[in-house]
Amino acid sequence: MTPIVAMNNWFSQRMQRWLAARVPAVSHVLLDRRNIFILPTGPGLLFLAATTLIFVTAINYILSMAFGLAFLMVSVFLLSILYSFRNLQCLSLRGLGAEPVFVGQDAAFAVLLEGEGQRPHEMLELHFPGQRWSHADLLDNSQARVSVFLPARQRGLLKAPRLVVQTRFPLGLWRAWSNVDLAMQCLVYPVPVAGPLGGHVLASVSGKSEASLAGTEDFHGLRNYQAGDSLKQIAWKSLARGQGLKVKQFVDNADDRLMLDWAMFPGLSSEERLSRLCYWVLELDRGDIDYGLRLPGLEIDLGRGEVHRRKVLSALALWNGSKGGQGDRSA
Amino acid sequence: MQDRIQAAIDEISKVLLGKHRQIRLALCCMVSGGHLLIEDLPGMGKTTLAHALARVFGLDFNRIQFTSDLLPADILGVSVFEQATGRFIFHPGPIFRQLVLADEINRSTPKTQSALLEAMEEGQVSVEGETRPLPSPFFVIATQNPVSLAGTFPLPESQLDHFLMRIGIGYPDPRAERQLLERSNEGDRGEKLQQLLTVEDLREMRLAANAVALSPLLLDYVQRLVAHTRQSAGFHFGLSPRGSIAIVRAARSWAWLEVRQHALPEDVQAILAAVVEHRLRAATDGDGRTGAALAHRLLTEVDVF
Amino acid sequence: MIEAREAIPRISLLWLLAALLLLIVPHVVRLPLWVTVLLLSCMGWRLLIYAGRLGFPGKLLKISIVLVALPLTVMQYGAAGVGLDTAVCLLILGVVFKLLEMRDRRDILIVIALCYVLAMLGFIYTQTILATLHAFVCFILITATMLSLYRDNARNTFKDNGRLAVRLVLQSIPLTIALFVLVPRVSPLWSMPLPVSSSTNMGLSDEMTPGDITNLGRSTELAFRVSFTGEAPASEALYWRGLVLDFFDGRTWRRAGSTLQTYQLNSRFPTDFRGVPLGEPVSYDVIMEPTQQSWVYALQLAEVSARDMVQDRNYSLITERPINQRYRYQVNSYLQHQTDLQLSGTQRARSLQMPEGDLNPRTSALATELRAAAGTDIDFAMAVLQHFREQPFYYTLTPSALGDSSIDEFMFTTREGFCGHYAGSFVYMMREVGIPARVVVGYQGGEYNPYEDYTLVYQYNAHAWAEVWIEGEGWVRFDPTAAVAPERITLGVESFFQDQPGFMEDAGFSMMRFRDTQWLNTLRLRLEGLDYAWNRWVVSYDENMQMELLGGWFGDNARQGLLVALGSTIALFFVLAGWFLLRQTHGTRHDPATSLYMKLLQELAKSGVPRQRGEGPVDYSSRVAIERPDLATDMRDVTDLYVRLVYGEKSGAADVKDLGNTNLVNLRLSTRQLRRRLMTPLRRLLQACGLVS
Repeated sequence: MTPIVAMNNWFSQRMQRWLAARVPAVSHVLLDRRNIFILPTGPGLLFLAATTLIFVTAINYILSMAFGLAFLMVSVFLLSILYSFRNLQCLSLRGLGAEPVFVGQDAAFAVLLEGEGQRPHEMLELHFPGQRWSHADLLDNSQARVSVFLPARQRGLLKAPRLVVQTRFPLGLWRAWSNVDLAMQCLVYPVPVAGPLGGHVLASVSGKSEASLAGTEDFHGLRNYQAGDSLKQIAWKSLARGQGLKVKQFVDNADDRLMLDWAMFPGLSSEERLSRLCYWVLELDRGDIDYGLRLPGLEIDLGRGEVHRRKVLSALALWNGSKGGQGDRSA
Repeated sequence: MQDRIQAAIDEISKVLLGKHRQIRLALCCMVSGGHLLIEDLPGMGKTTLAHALARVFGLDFNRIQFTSDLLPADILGVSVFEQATGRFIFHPGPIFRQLVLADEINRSTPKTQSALLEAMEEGQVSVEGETRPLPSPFFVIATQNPVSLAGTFPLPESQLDHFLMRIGIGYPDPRAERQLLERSNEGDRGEKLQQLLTVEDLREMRLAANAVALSPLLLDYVQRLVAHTRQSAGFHFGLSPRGSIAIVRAARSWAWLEVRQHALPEDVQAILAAVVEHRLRAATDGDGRTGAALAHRLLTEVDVF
Repeated sequence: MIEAREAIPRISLLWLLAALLLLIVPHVVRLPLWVTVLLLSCMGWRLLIYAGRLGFPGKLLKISIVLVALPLTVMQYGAAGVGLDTAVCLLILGVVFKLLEMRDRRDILIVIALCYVLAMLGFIYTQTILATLHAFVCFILITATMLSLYRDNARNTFKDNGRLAVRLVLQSIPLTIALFVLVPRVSPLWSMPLPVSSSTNMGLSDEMTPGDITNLGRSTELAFRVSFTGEAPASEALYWRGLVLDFFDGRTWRRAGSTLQTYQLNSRFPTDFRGVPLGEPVSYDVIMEPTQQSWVYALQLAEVSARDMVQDRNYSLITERPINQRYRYQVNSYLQHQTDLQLSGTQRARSLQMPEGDLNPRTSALATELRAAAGTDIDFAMAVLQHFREQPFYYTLTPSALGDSSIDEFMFTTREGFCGHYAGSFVYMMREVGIPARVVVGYQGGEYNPYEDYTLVYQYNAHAWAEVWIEGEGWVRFDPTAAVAPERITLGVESFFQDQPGFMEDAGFSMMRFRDTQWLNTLRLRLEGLDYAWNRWVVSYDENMQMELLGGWFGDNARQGLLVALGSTIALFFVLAGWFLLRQTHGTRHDPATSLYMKLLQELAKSGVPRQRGEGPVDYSSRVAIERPDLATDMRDVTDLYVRLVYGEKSGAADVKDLGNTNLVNLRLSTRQLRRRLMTPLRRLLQACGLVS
């Protein structure tokens, strides 16, 4: 590491520490004079340059009114500090978190902006350093919800960095900004990659096979109708015979249940395996099939539905190889 | 009077271990004269609580198990042609009781649900063109499973609004659960509960609660809460005026239960979640999806002063 | 970085075009016609681009426009060289060309910066109230343009932008005025090219060929304005002395050689000053219209204190730079005086200089004849005046042309002329007999504005008279014109020339023509007065006036005082504007009990137990009891009182607002007690001293 890089790192660390002390991380931040910073922008400097030119001309030609013009420009320049500041002041930010995404997608962190009192807040710009900007205005309404984007590059918990909220209102001469840490994070699932299932498919579920689990293929018997049963399964014939509302029960012998296993993808790295598992979780979820997940050191039982899917995907997102203990390419 | 309420709470706690707060809320709901919706997973003690309430107040009690094939007439009653007299005789349904436990209300069809809810709202039943008053007091305690479970017909928002409160029971804490397990051989303890209060007591309580003072500052707070649900982003729709009246009614009763002659913001906060959770829906999917999260937002985002 | 929003909002373009159009209006009269046409067509093109009817011009077209316009401009102004007019023209052309290739925010920002410069350039030509108002409106339009650039939301409408721009600019005005008064003015850093403008009046020339001044007699343009401290002298005493013309070549009077052995006049009269003031001075204030010449006018014997002005040996006031702006100076004049009791050799020679050859024998003969008849030099001068008075001489603004023997022709043939003819002939006759004499040009008289109490001197007040050196008296003023036409001096030139052909011939439809209509004349004088006040107090505010004004405030340390005042004004502005703009907007006003409670909460928050948002008073009290057990009892008591007061049964509006309510008094006492406990010892001390609440 060259000394300059080291210096830079040292500075940025100091900066982060200073910011952490000055604008601590909380899910709710109210902007006030302690955490708003303000500096002139490029156009602001251009404006000052024009002012200087006018001032010098005024001196040389002894033009009182040109002096007046220059002073008016200076006054507007100074006054707009207050306007910019006021545009951020009393604005509160609340981190609402983000929906999980897959690696490669943009995580959309939702931020709730609220103004205190009747004051409008215009032309607010938010972003994570280096990312694209999101915009919001609080005009007559006192709240606005903005999504701020951050690309998810890595599986796991994506911690949102400090959020920059800035404004160049009213004249673009000043940039008032604040760096706030709303302590937001987003769950990042592995990127789904298609790949064939390994040979252990049947073996992996054999232990779990029980006749009572519902299937769709073989007729098993009739039972009383319960609300929520599919109309397709109602035994219309027995209804016609006056035996009441009955439902046909089926059982599959060929399994419609699948235990996804780490060992199904031999010869791949752990990330590649997780990606394939992720793909199959999505496929199975779509296919209305019960599925479970077995990872080194972790097992999720069979199930289906939104909640189950989330649970399985979270496991894939957060699985940590070192805890699992199993080697990468061993199986 | 509040001593006897406390005694009643203690009594019910014998069957519903470690759930003082839920019991208190349920009592508060009854004192306010509102209907109660208990929502939780099966086996959490919803029915037990309803039974216990009926027993402690000595109310005339009936339980209706809602199923998908239950028809409105099964609840309200039917007129049957009696050959002996040659006239139609009205056979009142199970709803003509002071306390009706509507079990698993979301398993029945919307038609049946609305028959019950209409009766709740009107305090009377119209069958075959004839209006018949329901007994007084008239309470409905409905239980339902979480909406996401299979085979349910979720209650529409318009009807949820008729319940003053919705409470969940929640898992027992470990100590209570241990106690429960130790006692599991003792059988149904519900039968052993004593009647501690009377219908007359309930009427008195209601009058007393109505006398609890509401200061302008408190009403400001309630209005701010309601306004917040109507104005801020994140709320799909705001609270109706019925909702805000419900808050005030419940807060009064709560204050009375706390042995106070005036309501405090804390009283509003105590009952707020139970009163508004089922009336709110988040505008977008996200963290603040549930009514509980929205109620919590209300508490933290709207200031008391 | 902010891709989409770097585009120019459509509304900004309209604002900008409006601002530009308005900015260019006053320049149009100075710009060649083809430039104006080009400007308008470029703007039209841009509007068509805006409307989607036309695309941006191609590269080739842009280059060819520039290639044609640049040489054309240089050719147009070629004669005058690269002067200010050329620069202005090029700047305007540049701005307008930029319109045609302005695509993103950066481009428009450059145009906006140039617009400010354009607004300033207008002031080089004129700084009247009207021009200032014009620039002010332009400024608001430009500000609105900038505003619209950064306001890409529902409020980006003409109405909202306009309103905010006006508010911003108006709120800036107090600081602008403070800066205007207080920022130290310095002398020009380097010399600048001046506008070459035909419309600028050149004032009096420094030569006099009879036939010259007639132009001035026709002109109703203002020469300068004077306001006297105290009463103004009578009109016939107002001889505004300009230059001394002491060289005569037979046709034309000129200034002789260098007279620039000068006297610095920023102190009292220097020791070798040969003017002797007698009696009390009249003091007055002059604002001169630009003349492009470097001398100014004053009543003899003048004492001035401007830094950039000197007095030469002929008592003319000479400025360092030509006067290209309205110029203000203060003078004390000793109307009673004696000058040059001793005449130096050079001066005597200059005052006796005669043209080569004997061109005017008849006049010479007449002079010799009259001198012989007169006893003293003064008698002789009187005799010459007598001659003018008695012979049939006529005063006219349209005399006949004169040949080579101009003096003889005038004296004996035409016998008609104006001040120049009479003064020239008079001096000629004096010199003929060896009496030092010279021609003085300047203005005589002036119009008194009774509404604003000052005197206006117009170009038609231009005058020429003679000064004769008399042994023991020094220079004595003689006005031969007064001998011919005494009303010219006593009644004033306006009434005297009323019916003269040629007088005010160039005035056109100026309001001067209607000076007989009473109300119009009043209006004219009022407007004049406004313009005068503007010039006197605002436009002429410069280093001298600043020192004069601030010297009165800060005494000797004017410079330091100035800086201190400047600093504190800016600070004050920030405090006031900050307070006004940034004060927290409380949603509701609290009742007295809640206010007391809130004060307590602030104190508690400072001591580390802030109330959470949404936390009720009772909950908070119990939390405080846990976190600060030492405060538990007090806090509970206060909370009890407070809660009972605002939430209790009788918390009706009337009761809470009743300040005499015993509960409220109790609350006040107990919160005060608790707050005092929370204070640091220092704060407690300060409070005891009444320094904080």
